Amino acid sequence: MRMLRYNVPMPMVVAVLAAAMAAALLLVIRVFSPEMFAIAFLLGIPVIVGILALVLWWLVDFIEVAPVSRDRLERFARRHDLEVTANNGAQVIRYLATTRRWRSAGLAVSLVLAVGWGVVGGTYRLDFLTLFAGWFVGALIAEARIDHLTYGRRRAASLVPRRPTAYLPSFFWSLVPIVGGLAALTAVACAVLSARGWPVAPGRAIGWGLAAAAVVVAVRRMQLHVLRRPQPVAAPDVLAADDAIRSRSLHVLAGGGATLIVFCASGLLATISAALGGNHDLDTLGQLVVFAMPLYGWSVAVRRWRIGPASRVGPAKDAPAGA
Amino acid sequence: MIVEVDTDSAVPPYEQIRQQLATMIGAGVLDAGTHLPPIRQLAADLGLATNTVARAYRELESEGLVVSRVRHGTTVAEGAPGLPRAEVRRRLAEAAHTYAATARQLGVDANEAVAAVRRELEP
Repeated sequence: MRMLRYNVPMPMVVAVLAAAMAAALLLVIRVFSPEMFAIAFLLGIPVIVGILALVLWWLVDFIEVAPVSRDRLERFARRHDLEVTANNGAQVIRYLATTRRWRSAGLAVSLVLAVGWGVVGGTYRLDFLTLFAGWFVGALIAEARIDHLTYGRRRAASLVPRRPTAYLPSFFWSLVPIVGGLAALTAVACAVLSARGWPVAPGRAIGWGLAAAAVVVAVRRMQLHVLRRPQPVAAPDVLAADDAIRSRSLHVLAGGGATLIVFCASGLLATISAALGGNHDLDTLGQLVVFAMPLYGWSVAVRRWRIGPASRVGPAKDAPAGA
Repeated sequence: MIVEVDTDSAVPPYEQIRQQLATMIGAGVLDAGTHLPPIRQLAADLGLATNTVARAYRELESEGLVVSRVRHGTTVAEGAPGLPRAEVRRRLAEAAHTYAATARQLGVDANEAVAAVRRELEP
């Protein structure tokens, strides 16, 4: 791929310039020929969305080939008191690159879908929930694609059970079931109101309820997958990096998953509020939760955590040194 | 504490796991009440099918060495038949005898043979 200075991909520059020219052309048409503007606007929409998709495609491609910065590596190491060595450096960098690639791809796809969907509906609104959901789906895919340590000639494994509490605080491990329970209670409230004759929109209530349930199941399954990811015996620094990766993944899944479930629950709250004819308290609660939860989820995802010594085992003589 | 499996060995993997765990429990290396890793974890870490590890655990349970309970996992049984100290020493001497014979056949001197053992025993 040809690059300009500062490693900016050439097709991305072309796409940005094309988008700017399309917007300028629309402006000129609006000024000099207002009656043509509506037609030009409608014709321009698919062009702009297409260009946006192209820009994002190249952005993701750019992110994919860009090296993981030293700052990011050091930040990861600091969060787990991990000593990055020649043995485990590539393993951590591969993890950081994989997660960045899939999370940014998820975000880019959701951005295109959100803009496209909004244009179809005649609006230019960017919905944070859609963007966050796309990012989180990317994060889930990334976790499924993380490489585990390779097996040696003689396969060796620790006899120490891997417990979630070695990798994150017990409350964080319980966070997804807790907020899932709260979402379930909200769904039950919807059902009760509907049964008592209140005008609850059934499509919205069922949609939000199913979305919350799907997120709970998907996140829990992925958390268990991360916990059970193979960890054959290897050199101590390789195992330390593997534990740190596992811990970071579980933190991100807990924080991101809980946030997404709370968003679904706030959708249910809004449905109840609408059924009650616009309940001010419920609306305030919903808005408070929608603003506060992403901040809390973020604090969970980036929290420092030192891995418990119980998860460490000694090296095997013929175990592989690298992942 | 680790368990090893040689996939090239004529001994089936489940039997290798069973033997190692039985030895560790017998020698008191794994105390009564010690939690063993979940079947899925051990199978994943060893790159084996879950049924292979499950069979090893089942055999240990039928010998009364471990107890499996739903939601509690598998633990070393209370009062599991342990090996007397004399038996531990006898088995060790037997293994040492076999190793010494192999070292002599390979023409390895005593220092080199002991060094090889020490390397294996180092944590």
